[in-house]
Amino acid sequence: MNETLSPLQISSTGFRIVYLLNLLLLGPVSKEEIIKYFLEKENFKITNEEIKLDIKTLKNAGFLIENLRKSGDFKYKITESPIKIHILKKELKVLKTIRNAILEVENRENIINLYTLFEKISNFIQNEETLNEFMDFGYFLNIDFKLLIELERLTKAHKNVLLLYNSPNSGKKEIEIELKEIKYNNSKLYITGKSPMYKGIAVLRADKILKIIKILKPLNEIFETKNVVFEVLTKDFKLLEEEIILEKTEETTKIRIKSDNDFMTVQRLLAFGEDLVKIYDPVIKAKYKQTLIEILNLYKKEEQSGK
Amino acid sequence: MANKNLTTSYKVVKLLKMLIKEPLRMPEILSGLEKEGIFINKETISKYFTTLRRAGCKVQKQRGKYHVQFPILNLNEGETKALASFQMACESLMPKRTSDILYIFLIKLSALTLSENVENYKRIISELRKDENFWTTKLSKKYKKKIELISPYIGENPQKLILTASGKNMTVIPLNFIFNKTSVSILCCNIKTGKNQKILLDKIEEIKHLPEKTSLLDFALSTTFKLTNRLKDAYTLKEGETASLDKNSLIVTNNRQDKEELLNRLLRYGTSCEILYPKNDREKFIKMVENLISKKL
Repeated sequence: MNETLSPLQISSTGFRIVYLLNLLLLGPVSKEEIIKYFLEKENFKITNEEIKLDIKTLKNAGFLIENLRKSGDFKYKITESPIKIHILKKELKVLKTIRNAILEVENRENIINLYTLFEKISNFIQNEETLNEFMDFGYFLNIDFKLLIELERLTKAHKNVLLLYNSPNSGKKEIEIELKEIKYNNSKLYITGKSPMYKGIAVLRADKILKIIKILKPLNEIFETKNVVFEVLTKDFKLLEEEIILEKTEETTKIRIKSDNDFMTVQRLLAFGEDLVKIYDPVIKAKYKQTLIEILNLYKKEEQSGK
Repeated sequence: MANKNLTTSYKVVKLLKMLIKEPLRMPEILSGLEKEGIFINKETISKYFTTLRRAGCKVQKQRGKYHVQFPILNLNEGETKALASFQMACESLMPKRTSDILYIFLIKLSALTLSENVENYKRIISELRKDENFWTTKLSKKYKKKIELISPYIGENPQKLILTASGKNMTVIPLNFIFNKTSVSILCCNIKTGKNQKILLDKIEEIKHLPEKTSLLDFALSTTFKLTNRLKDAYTLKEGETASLDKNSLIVTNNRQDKEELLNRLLRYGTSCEILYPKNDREKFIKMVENLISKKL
């Protein structure tokens, strides 16, 4: 302890255990880290045996503590914090309103920061129903942020990587992909790139990527992108990162989208509904029309079978 | 009966646990500890308080009750900035009573947060308040008045309003605000058409409150659609949506989205989505697809 307080004023074993509890509540911590922290911050020597004894005492006092074993570097972790805050219904409503506004407006980095902040706070929320509403980040849900940050870094360098992907169609599989970009579309995050396993540009849902297995030798693929120009009625809409406005009048807005995947471009155009005025690319136009015909056939077929 | 085997560290932790849970008077503390077999006097409690303070806890006495706060929330720079932006968004865009509610939450949070984080937070928020280019500042100048006017009528029991937008009067139930980087809209249920629609706040010229309360019949009919193929498993429910899953499809009911936006979104799902009911929405959707096919693009 830096300041010298006499044993009459303070209990040194009491100080030791509360300080240790404080460290545990900040996050998983190993014996070595505890010893180092005590020594550096408090000039207090604590032994392995004392740590063991204090952990045992904390458990006896009702704290749930587990040892994360080899996979978790033998760190100690408090599994349920006794420190809780109660969020009132009206507070939750305000938090949700502002969070939703921020999700619409802020950039990805700030949203990730907000998510990790909410995740930290969520450890202290008492009621499970409140917790679920508090943590409802829509498309950001289920994304491993550490993995996403790593993917952002690798994507900027266009690295060729081997990913473990949980495909909605075929389950878990390994995918080699030379990363091109991360994009937000249709309320979801996607990773795109060139893969020997797919024709054209592969598009993977970020929340379905489980792991980066390894970084591979570069494929040295040239990423082919084409510019698709289309026109929509001038209304209040959000541009995607890969879109720019070429011309804007009171009636219509001409937009150029950098497209590396026809399917996603068609989806984007469909999302404008009847506000779409013109598509300048004949291939995309044909694919767009074909999708509409297939949709109409689905309804016609249903109605015929209903009759 | 006193348990002589209990160590000092055990007693300190028990005291800490008790006072984190709720503020207590000294006699309540003593009797609470006695129930645990811990028999100590006021002087020892006072020594334990000094111990707790020394170990980083805030021990406070308010109205005769002792309370312990344990600052254990450690925010990094990015998270602190995110929280400051959050408060700024609320202060700039919401009415004062909403900011006051957030403030109560922030006070609770600050009790858990390390003091150096709190200081950093104060610095960031004061910088943001001066930043004329921060996104909320611009929106605030343009929309705050209208948001303040409409806000009291949104909530658990929303109330009817007459909005005059682009020269037209319409009776609506305001549901929630939709924020964009450059504009703010209000999502409301148009009572005449029975549909949810989004109205840009710029277009609203006048707002009048109706003395009538809303009834369930005033709200728009929900749209129910079926999702199949991979979308069945990959779909993330949007706010206000409910769903039931069967073997081959996911049935989703949506009652909170602007109808036009919803139909456009469902169009994007291609053949993996089919509107089931109401019949009116299904027919409108088919009509839209037919129009788009025949449209000379």
